[in-house]
Amino acid sequence: MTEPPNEDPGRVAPESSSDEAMPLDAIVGGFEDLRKDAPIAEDPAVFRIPVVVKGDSAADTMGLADDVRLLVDSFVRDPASVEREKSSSAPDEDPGDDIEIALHGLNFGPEDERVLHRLIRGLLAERRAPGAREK
Amino acid sequence: MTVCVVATSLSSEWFYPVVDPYRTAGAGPYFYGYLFAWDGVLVTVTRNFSLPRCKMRVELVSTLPEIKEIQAFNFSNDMENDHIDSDPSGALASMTITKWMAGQACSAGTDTVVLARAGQFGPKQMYTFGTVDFWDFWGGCTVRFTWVEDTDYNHRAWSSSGAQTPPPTYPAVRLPDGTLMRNAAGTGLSVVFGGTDFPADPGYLGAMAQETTAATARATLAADARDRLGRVGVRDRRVLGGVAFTPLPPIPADFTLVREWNRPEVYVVFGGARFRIPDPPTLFSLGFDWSMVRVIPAGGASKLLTIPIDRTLIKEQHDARVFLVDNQQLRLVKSQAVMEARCLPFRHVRIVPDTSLSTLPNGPDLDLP
Repeated sequence: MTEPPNEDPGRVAPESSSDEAMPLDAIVGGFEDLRKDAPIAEDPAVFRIPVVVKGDSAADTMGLADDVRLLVDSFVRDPASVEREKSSSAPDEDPGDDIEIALHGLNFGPEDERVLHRLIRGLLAERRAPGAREK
Repeated sequence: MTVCVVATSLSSEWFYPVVDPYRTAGAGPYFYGYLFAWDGVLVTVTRNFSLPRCKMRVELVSTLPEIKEIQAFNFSNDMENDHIDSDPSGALASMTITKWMAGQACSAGTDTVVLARAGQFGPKQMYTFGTVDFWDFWGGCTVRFTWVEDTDYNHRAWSSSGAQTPPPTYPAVRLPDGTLMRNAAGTGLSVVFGGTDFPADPGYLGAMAQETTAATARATLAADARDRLGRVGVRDRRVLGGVAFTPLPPIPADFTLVREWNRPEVYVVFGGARFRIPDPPTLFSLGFDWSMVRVIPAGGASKLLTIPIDRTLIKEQHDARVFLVDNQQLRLVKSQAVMEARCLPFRHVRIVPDTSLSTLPNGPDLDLP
């Protein structure tokens, strides 16, 4: 799809010069960051499952993505032990019906996926429990 | 309250840091060079005042023969909801994307963009950005991706993966603090602080004990080094110690602290405007210390604005009220709900000493959109 330039070009901050003439404000990436020994996809230090969390309020979701990522990472490594640990330490809680969970790219079977859904919902319920913030 | 939790199929190695224009010197446009694993892309970010912060205009330009595409991606759906393709003639392709908003289904809106190369069997070599930074930093802007270089992805990557790439260092500036630079006319020297240049008077140079002769010689002789995107870059200049004239933004980056060499007043800069720090306890209580105060030439503070540039979020230290600078007026953001509904990130709220805002003009309060 090709569109005309901005509908209201008069209100857009004027470009002081063409792209080609301007020096860079920042450079992201480069050779010095490239690790020589490990192929990118096999470097355990940098390969993590990306988890995205969206919520009505930033305060409600603060740190949640990290918590879920840790849970998913642990579950991918050893599903049985994670399930055992969580089952023994937390009662079955329901965080509510307003949780949507989508697990893409993990290649789980239906049973593993169901368990992971339940664990994530449990994590959310823990965070929503009264007094959870103080902990 | 809706919460969407997604483990995305996009690999962690594809996620690159987003550079924050609110920590970059000047009012824009901002020029960021991205050296992706197999590709070089120039990202130009321009504040677009016809757009709210919950929307973004995305543009793609490339003259490379291989088609490139940008997908407007939703993580919950694990797929694009719109995309644009490059035109090898160099014609601009664009789309306007909208952020997911509270109360919407998780499948609504665009979470990020994915840059990809068109392969025979579908998109190849993807690059993307984390949702939060992507929208916090580039929301309300026109973001142009100029794809300037591609390499053979059957060979080893020429640059780091996203997971290997460290976050940017701030402030994002074209020349580091303390650089002596020839002015545009070649008739004198300027000194750079916070990414902008201050004309250096002889008194300042003497007081700072700068060796102007050597600096001038380097300015004349230094080669105009270019990076892999074919552009002059800060890193190259650091390596060469170059002090040739470089066009710099007219205002320093946020959090720059300055004092004129012959004056006692210390100012902190936000949105290009100066706010006087009345005493040392205030300096420390704002999280600063003396080592952060840059000594600039006499009269240098006059270059700083009195009202921050539009879109600056600001509050006084002991007052909970947050203001948005809009049309060069302070507009009270009425609640946290207004902040979130208007996609105004709390991390961009700048804190100034008490009473600093009392003389600035006020506009109408900012309510829910």
